[in-house]
Amino acid sequence: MVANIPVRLNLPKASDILPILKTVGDEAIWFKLRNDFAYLNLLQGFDELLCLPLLHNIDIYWYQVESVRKVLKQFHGRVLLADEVGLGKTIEAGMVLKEYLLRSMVERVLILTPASLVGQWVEEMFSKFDIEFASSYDSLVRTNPQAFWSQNKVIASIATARQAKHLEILTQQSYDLVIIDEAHHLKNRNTSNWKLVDALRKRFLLLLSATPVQNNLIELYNLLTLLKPGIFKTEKEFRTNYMLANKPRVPANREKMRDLMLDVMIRNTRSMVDLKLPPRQAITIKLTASAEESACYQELSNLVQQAHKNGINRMAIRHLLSSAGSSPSAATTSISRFINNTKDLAKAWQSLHKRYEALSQGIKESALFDLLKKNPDEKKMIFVHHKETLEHLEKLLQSKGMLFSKFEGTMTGPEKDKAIERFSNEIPLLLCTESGGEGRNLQFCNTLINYDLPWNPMAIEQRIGRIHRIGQTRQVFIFNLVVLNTIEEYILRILDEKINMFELVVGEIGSILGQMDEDQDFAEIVFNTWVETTEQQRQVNFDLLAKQILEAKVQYEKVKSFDTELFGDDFEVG
Amino acid sequence: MEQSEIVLKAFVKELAEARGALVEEIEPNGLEIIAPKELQEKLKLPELARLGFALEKPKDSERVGLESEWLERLGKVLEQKGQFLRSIISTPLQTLSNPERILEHNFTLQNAIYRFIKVRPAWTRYLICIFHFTAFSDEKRDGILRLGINLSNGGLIDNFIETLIREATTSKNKQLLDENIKLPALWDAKQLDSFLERALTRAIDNNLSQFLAGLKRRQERDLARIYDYHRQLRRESLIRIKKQPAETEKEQAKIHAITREYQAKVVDLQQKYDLRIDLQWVQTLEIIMPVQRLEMLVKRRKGERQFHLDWNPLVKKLETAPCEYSYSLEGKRVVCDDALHIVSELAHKECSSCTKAYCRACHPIKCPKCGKTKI
Repeated sequence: MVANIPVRLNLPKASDILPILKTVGDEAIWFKLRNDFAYLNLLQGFDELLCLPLLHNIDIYWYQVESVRKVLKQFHGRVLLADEVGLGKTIEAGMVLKEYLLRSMVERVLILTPASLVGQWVEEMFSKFDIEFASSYDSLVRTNPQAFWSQNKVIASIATARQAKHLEILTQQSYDLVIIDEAHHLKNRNTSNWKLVDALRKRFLLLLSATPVQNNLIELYNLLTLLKPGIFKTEKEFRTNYMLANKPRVPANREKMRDLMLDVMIRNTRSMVDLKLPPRQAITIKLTASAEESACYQELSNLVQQAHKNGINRMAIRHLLSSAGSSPSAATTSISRFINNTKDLAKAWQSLHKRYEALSQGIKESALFDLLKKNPDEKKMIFVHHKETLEHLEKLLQSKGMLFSKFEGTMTGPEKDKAIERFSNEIPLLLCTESGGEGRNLQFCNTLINYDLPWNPMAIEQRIGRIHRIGQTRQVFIFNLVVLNTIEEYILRILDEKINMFELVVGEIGSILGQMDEDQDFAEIVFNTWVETTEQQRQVNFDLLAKQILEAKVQYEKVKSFDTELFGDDFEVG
Repeated sequence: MEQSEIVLKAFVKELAEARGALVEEIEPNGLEIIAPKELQEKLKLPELARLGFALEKPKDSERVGLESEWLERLGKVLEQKGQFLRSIISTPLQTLSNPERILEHNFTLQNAIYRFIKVRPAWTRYLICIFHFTAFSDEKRDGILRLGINLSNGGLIDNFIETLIREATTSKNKQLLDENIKLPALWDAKQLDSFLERALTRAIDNNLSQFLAGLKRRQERDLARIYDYHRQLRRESLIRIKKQPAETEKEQAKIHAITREYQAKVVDLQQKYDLRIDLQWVQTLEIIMPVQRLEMLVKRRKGERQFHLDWNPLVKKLETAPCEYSYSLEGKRVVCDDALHIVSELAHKECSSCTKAYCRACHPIKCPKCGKTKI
């Protein structure tokens, strides 16, 4: 087959030039400056990444820059990015995308992720790369799929994309860049996931996975065949040339296989990056609430269960439960909002609202002040998920005359800078929301207090990642404040006691949960486990969930060690 | 300090000064600028600003690099300025002692003769157009193209564009043109469009030949790989049919699917390597200057045509005779029978269908004999 490259040439017209020839013209210096300027614009090769000064809230590391350069220059935008967990594959993919956008090399972009990661991708692309995406959270995907998929930048769950009604539209589109997160879900070429990605019309393709090979080498064959069809010839030939009988994980011809894969894969390891972080210690402080606070929570839980059965908006009732786990003040506001929004005038809600309002103080507040009294000069970050809790704590700290700096998402850039500067130089306490100090150097602080707990473990990891990162030299302490018999306590039993999440590398919890179910996020699973059961059966169900996650962790550990053994340091950029 | 940083620093200094700023070099690798209000706004700088151009930069200075944000600011300062310069170069015009010999050495016609008539001083008008091109495929390549032409005869001045630009942009003396001087007229839109289309296509070919060859190489490699892959899949199915005839129907269906998949992959690859080239006009320089005009009579069979080439006193060179079809510098020149066009051999080659040679300047669309040749 002879190469045939269609060439489209867009030429300027005489009409661009002729009118100006009738003018007097400029002075020579301006002609020279415009000429010099034209040449200056040419100096931006791939060696100098254009995106770097335009990124926000990110620490960029050398290996990420090198990886991006390699993807652009050597791999021509088709690659398996298989960095070990926690090294920032998403950041690398975002940089590649931004670089292509800045150079007008891509216009239409599709990102496919597990359902639970769609929101995170949308948020990261916007907050870190200034790129706005439509997502499969938008109602347009249901009301007008054709219009939805025709948009230039889309992030969607792979589960949505593979549905027959979407698949047909999607495969008619042409994309300049397709990014697949958690690409090990494409390990089997008989699945609809694999067939979908194979059928997409695409120029550049980035596959992201820390654990590309889960069970046997055929999975690797399937992934790389998407990137470069035919790289390993047919599956039969691959089996003959690269696999040993009865040893599906051991390559028969390691050298040759490595040589072929060098053209399609990057895998940076923590040892190459020299990412040796000091240890972390998590201390969960379990608190017994006052009888009234405890009774309020119990009542709320019952009402939420009832509302769930009645088919009331899941997000709203999830929020109620989560706010009650944060603080009585957050619960008060949420219940009030719930009553207003749902027009549910049932007496039970009204009465509960009054009871929460009457609670002057939650049990966590006194525990927090006890913590703050210890080592008062040591810098501490208090993370709070709920805004009402943040405001409540703010007032409380002020009333006690304690100095603190506040950092939250709604502040302006200079306000945030000032807050961090004060925390760094003057004040030992930072009160912040989830966005607290993203991408900023906060390694001078080694103590983090989770005043409340997001149900999404990745959000907990992000909090930890603010201080447990390159540059941290001291042991990191994480204090979790949790009230007994709340959903947060059950969550911590699984994450802390069963799988030791606080000792895992940042990013690993996502990989572990990814072994379980690609379509449902952890917060949703936990919520279901809480509301779809009786109180007596709850413990049993949570134990069952813990068992599944533990199994997923064991599976993840196996896969990780298999991939480490298989790839070693052969695919690093350093 | 890297070369690109040195260039950027010099540019910023010159640009700021042109916009009325006071600029002083400071160490290390920096500039101190007192900027007028308009410049402050466009560069987003305070009135007194310190700029650093390398890793090691002056204290309290802002780092200036080749990032798009800074290029955007500099572009705003430049605005539309410098798109057109008219320059009159009144260089002394030497007398040519042996013009016939200059012609003999620089101008040969493969299938015709010419007779030198005379040499005389004249004024001409050169047009130098500068373009930015960007080629987009799975890689991107961009560059600058410069085309220069003598409007009196279409003569090509690519070989001394650099000297002319330098002279036009550095000469301090602003010349005035004597009203009695007769200049060649500006080309009309049709003539200019035809020139741009042909000359730019030729120039793009030259500039991107390596890039295109690289794309072709990679595409060929990819095509071969997917061809081998699908051929082998097909072969495996055929073997299975041979071994298990009962499976024939199933395997046949599979072979059809393999064929469809192969065709889709070929289309996918074509899209992957699809090349778009955008050319944007950047600026134009019009140079008016005296030349020695060498006039001649070109003869081919029974036809005759008066023609001239200009000798440029600044570079002391004769311009290259134009290919009146492609405006290409390359190749020897031949003359066509009908209109006595002077064209390159390539523009007078045989038709690939009927093998008859014909002039592309006379017949730019198709072969006059068979009507089939694509240009």
